[in-house]
Amino acid sequence: MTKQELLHIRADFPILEEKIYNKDLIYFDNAATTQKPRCVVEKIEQGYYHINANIHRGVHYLSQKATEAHEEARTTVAGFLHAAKREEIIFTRGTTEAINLVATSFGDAFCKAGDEIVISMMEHHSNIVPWQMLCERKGMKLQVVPINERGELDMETFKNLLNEKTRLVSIAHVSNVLGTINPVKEIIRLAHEKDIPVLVDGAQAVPHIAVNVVDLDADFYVFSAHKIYGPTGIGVLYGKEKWLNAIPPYQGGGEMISTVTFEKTTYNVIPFKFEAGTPDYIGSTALAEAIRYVEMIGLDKIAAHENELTNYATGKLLEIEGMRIFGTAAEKSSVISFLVGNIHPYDIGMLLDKLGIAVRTGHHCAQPLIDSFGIPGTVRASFAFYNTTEEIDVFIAALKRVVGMLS
Amino acid sequence: MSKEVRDRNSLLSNNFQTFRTLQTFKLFKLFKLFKLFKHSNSLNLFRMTINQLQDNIIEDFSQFDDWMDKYSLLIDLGNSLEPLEEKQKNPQNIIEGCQSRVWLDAEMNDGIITYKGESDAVLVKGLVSLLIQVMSGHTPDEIINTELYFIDKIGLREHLSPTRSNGLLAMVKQMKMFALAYKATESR
Repeated sequence: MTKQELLHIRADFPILEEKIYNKDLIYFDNAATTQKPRCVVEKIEQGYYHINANIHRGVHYLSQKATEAHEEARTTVAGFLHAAKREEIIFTRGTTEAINLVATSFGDAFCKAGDEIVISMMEHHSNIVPWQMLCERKGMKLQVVPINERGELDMETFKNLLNEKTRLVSIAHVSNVLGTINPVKEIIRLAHEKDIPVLVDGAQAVPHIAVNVVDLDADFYVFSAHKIYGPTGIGVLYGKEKWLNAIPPYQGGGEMISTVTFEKTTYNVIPFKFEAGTPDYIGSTALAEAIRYVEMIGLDKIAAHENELTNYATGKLLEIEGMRIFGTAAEKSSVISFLVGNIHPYDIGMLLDKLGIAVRTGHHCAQPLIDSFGIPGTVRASFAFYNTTEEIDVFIAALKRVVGMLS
Repeated sequence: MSKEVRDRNSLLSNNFQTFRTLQTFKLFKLFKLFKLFKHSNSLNLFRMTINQLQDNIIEDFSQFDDWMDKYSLLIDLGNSLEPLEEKQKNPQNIIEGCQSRVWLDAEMNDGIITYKGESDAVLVKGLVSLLIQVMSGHTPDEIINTELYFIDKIGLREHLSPTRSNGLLAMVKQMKMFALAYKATESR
């Protein structure tokens, strides 16, 4: 990415001009949520100001316009994931709701006492707790794939965990703490050899990696809009048509029905079967706009720039005495988790904040992973394509100052 | 490096500013010693009230305009906080904070409560130190009826996010709980 391109991109994100405690904001918490380009916010405004009407049931003009926009957004998402059919795209509130939907509906239809679900050591709580709840409901067992010292999955153990009791594998595409890019295509191939379906948690992947669900052969693929420059409160569940038809609805209500009588209700076809209630049609159109924005810049270009930032920052960080980086996988995304000496991550985060730098501290909603390292948490810097090496220089200087204060 | 970065870096390592901060600190330490001396002379004559102690802290913090200086003071306080004994760091004494662990213990002698506390994060330890400065050495009734305003006045509440300041509030709540418990044993 040229300097000029980067300047143009940054101009699309008004928040990057903000002053924090009279200092220029440096936003390195992109793995938690990304900032929004102007076009996404304008899409929301335009939606409410010009085409707001409840969708799918109105005969009037506005309702039809809003319905069209929402369904076009579904097509955009389907194209983005390279799904075979647009009906395979379900809008949810986010990654968490998408995983809960599968855990509940798939769990109800296909799981029984004694069965097993396979997840990994590096999962976010949202890909642990829904499965734990299912296991409690049904008397099932959660199997956890361990990781090596670089933060990569132990594939041998993974293979051995797959057996006739395994009902589903649910695995992160990219770790939100370690940045590890997991070999999901290989994982899916191995699971499919034993007829086990796989859900991929793509929350940390879609902003950085081009995803093709057909090529991956994923059974379910989920992500959140707000991590890919879209609005909060909306996300996506991709499911293969055969699975979405085979599993029961998640929530009951309007929209998801075909006919309702007090004796018997029949359900609507996919995708509507899983979208009870008025959907977030403003959010869906804004998500589609965010996807168009990302595609316009190009995920190849985005990944190249983010890799450059990650390598640059890693090199600079390692010059600091006592630096420990957690997650050094060969295939890694733009996330760096670290600790300096015995300094508590909270102390570093608080002081960096006072210097205008936003990083994340703590267990990053992956407590089992953090506990496995025997540490209280990490400081996490995560980069997006609008970040610059100059910002990293400021961050490193600030970090050195903060470490000096705390040592 | 862009000009902006250079400016900022030079600001970060500005020798003059470091020198000034150090000078302020030396003065501040002298001032503290003087106050301590003053207080120790009068310790037997009169015990400072919780509000007087709060006002002292407000005064201490008002000398710093820059946030980093305030935090340096907090780090200093945290580092000089007397550590808890390992046995006092038991699950009963733990306060579930947001991101760091805090332990709080209390004992009462002659109707006066003394608090001890610790945290694994030094900034939080600094906050614990401030709370102990204010709340230790008072009767259960005095502690129960106290309204803590210094946290607001030194700007720590607005500069700590809600979840974090809830951790702070949880500490205060726990201190009052200890006082209530001791009051109950006293009146038995």
